[in-house]
Amino acid sequence: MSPSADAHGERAIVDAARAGDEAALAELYNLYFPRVYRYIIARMGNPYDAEDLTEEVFLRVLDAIERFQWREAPFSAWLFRIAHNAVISQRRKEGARGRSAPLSDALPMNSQGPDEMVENRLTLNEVMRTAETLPEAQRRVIGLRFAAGLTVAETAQAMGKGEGNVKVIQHKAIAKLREILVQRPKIHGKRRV
Amino acid sequence: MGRGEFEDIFEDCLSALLQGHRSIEESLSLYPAWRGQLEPLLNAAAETAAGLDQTPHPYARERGLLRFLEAARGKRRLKEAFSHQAEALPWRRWAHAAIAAVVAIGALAFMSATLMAEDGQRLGNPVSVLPYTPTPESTQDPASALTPLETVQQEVAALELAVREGETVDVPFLEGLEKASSQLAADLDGPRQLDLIGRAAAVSVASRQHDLLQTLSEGSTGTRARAISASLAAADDVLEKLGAAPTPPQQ
Repeated sequence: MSPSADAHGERAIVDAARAGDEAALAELYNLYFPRVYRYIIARMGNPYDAEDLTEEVFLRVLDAIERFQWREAPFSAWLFRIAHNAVISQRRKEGARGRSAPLSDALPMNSQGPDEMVENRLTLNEVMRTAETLPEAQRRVIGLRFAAGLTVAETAQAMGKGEGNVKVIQHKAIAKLREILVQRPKIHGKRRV
Repeated sequence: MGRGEFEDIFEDCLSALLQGHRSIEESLSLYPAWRGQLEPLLNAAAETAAGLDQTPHPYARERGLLRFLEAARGKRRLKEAFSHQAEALPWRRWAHAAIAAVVAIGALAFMSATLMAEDGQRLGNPVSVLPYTPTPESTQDPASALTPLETVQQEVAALELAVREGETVDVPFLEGLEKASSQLAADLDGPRQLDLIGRAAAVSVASRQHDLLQTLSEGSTGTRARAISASLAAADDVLEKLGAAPTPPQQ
């Protein structure tokens, strides 16, 4: 399916969901749940928190979807603004409770063997630890582009910035990630960076 | 080539990599002059993308979908109930518009009278204006003109504004909110029972009150914490009586 056909299909689904069509709501959920989950895991680091918070994001979407308007932003940008607000609000709550977001040992089960899982977990932990050192805007761009799979244009609209600005931020973020990843010795496997 | 142009090239390679359209090597052969700069960045990008490629547990996804659809059904049921109520009592549809119109006409009349009086004074042309006579102070408490639900709605709106603006919410305000919520809870048992729309509005306002007070309770101590807790309990009492008690936090 071409991107424009994709966009057309998504528009029909979103419009039906706005009208309360249950099948369309389920379709939207299935389309976006993995992407929102990955975005939240990229921002929070903990899979269990990410599962709960992803559910909460969809409940917020349900509350607000009638107010969504196509002229303001693409649906994905609108949805990830809600996800961003949920992350910020969760961080504020955790900050008030004095709880940091630990990286969990119990990462979700992907269809991988144990060796691959360990490797994957180490990589996620490394990425998370490294990303923690980045400024907020750079972390957000990494989350939106790499985890949520948004394009530069969608990322720019989700962040309320220009596309040129997003390109500069992502370049800086990846350069910084590379710098830190190169300095850190890897436990398993050969570093590709 | 300027910095902006390199960022465009990098973005082209990055998009192709993330979408699986081109490998790193294919991108590097497209832009051989930039291989030295592009290669380490694209490798770091690939490693970052691999680290973030996580899949939610199927159970979590399924559980979330069920809750999401259940919430959607609840929302639809409430909407239908509102619409049936509005059909049964058509005047409700126009009540808000009528109140707004009366207020607007009143405000316009007041402004016109004030302007005419000012003009009359300025031009030396006496306009017949009623002499000002101070109204005797009413012995009626203005708040008593409101129902307990309306009082709670007003106070929760004020609380929401204060929380949003980061203003301090003082103890007397919290005590007032607790009193109003307790009155609302008592009203739910009394002869002036709320209709379906009133009950839905009460659930909505008490839920909001619960959330705001929970936010406010974080980091509060002493008398203020006690006042928040009492007001929170009053909101929860309202929710419990309406069969919408908040879910206890997960352990």
